[in-house]
Amino acid sequence: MTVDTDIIPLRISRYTEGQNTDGYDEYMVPYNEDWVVLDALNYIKDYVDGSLAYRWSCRMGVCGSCGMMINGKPKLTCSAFLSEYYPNPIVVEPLANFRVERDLIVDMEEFIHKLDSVKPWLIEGDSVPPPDQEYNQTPAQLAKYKQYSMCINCTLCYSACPVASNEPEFIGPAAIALAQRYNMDSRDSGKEQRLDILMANDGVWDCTFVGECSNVCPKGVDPAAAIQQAKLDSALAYAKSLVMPKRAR
Amino acid sequence: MNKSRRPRPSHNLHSNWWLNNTGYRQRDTRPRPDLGATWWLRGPSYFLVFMRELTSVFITFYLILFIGLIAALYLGEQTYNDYMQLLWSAPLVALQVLALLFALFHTVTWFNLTPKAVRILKGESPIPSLVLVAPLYLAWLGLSSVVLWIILS
Amino acid sequence: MARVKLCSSMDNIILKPRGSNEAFFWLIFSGGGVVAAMLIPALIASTILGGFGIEEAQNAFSYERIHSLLSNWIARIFILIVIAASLMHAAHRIRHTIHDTRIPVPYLISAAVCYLSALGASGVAALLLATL
Repeated sequence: MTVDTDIIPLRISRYTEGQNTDGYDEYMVPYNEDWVVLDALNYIKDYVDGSLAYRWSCRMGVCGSCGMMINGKPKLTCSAFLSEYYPNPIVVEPLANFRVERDLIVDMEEFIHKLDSVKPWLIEGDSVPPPDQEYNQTPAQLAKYKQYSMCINCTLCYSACPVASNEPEFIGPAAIALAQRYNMDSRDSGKEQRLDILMANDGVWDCTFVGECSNVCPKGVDPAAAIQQAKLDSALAYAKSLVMPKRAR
Repeated sequence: MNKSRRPRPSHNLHSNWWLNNTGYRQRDTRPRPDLGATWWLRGPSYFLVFMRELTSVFITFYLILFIGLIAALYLGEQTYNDYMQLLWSAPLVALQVLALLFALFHTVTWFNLTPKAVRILKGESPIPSLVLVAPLYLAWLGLSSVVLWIILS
Repeated sequence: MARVKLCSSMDNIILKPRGSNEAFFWLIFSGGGVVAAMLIPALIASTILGGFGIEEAQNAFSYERIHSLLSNWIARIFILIVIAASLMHAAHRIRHTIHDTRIPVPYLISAAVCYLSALGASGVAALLLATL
């Protein structure tokens, strides 16, 4: 390799359970204007240190696999250009507020469990069309929830949220945004079921509207807005339950 | 029994105790790096949010002063006049100015965040935030003027 | 979670509010937030002006004038609402900030201390205003 290549240092967090390999390893990566951090990680894996473990898939910002902390901010590594940081070193760490499995890989199971708890699927009710017909939905009805449907489950929002940091049980921005996505879908009849989860103790009420989740979201979902709207829905349901109590089943 | 080798969580979703594949509880020793207690120092957006939360401290401080004013009023003219002189002394005026700045910050952040909580769609796109926010500011100006006029004129 | 049973024939009706009781405090927080946003700056501004040596402002706060202003029941109720709503709003925010900064206070204690102090201060204000 000629000495004319520009170099950018990458400081990467390493961790293997049961071994004393914790800490940061520094790698010198050739700088290329077109490269993103993911390209640098792939370079390291291919040519420098094959033991580096990390997740990635589509490399174009739609799968949500490659989320990591870059210089302390949660980003998709496929969307973070080296040119933004060059010539300063880039510190790459696993997503905050998650259990670290290995190097840059975090345990997503908690998030999946939280997501499942809000039933992120269409719950059929009275409005099911006959089997030979599809659901009809106007563009205006689509517009009500479309923004929240853009979520790619990358969980950058969980890493940005101080409440998720302090309270591991908080169901979190993405789960609430997706709950709202279905609550506002005209084809869905499951709002009451989802509200029970949202109104419970580790649901929407843990949120203090820091709003950083919306700032880091790569798809513009704006989960903070979804959460505030969910708080309004929940508060109204609570008030309604006081005024019109249900009979016990 | 076909269970994967990974330890399964026990009843509590996020407890540190997992059930390993022999059914015994073991501790989850994997690190969980978080944002720490000083998350509000991690960036300007976090810091501004923290300032927004601090507005409540200053509003409480001022309201205590104000309740003191009413108490002084209750206790008689001399007490009241002494109290007002205290309120108008330099250090307390400085604190009240600080409280005013924080109260204004609360007003601005509160109004600007209202469109997030109240999303109205006109056809397919949301109404411009200004449509929701401008009336709030106008109402604020109007009410403030009325209050100031009543108290001061 | 409140369970209120007035008589045995009401066994089938459980007056249990749905979801966490946080909703109640959040509603008060929201209402208080609007009140505080609208009216607190003006209130602070009114008492500051005298401190800058403005004669009119200082005269406006003379004992007789303020006493007569507050002799009106509507004024008293108005001021009480501003004080109480803003204090409850601030209490809710302070309580959540205590937890957000990881100051080690149990959840129920922080709620009790914050909300009860706000209620207490509002109660004191109410008593003072009523007997003025």
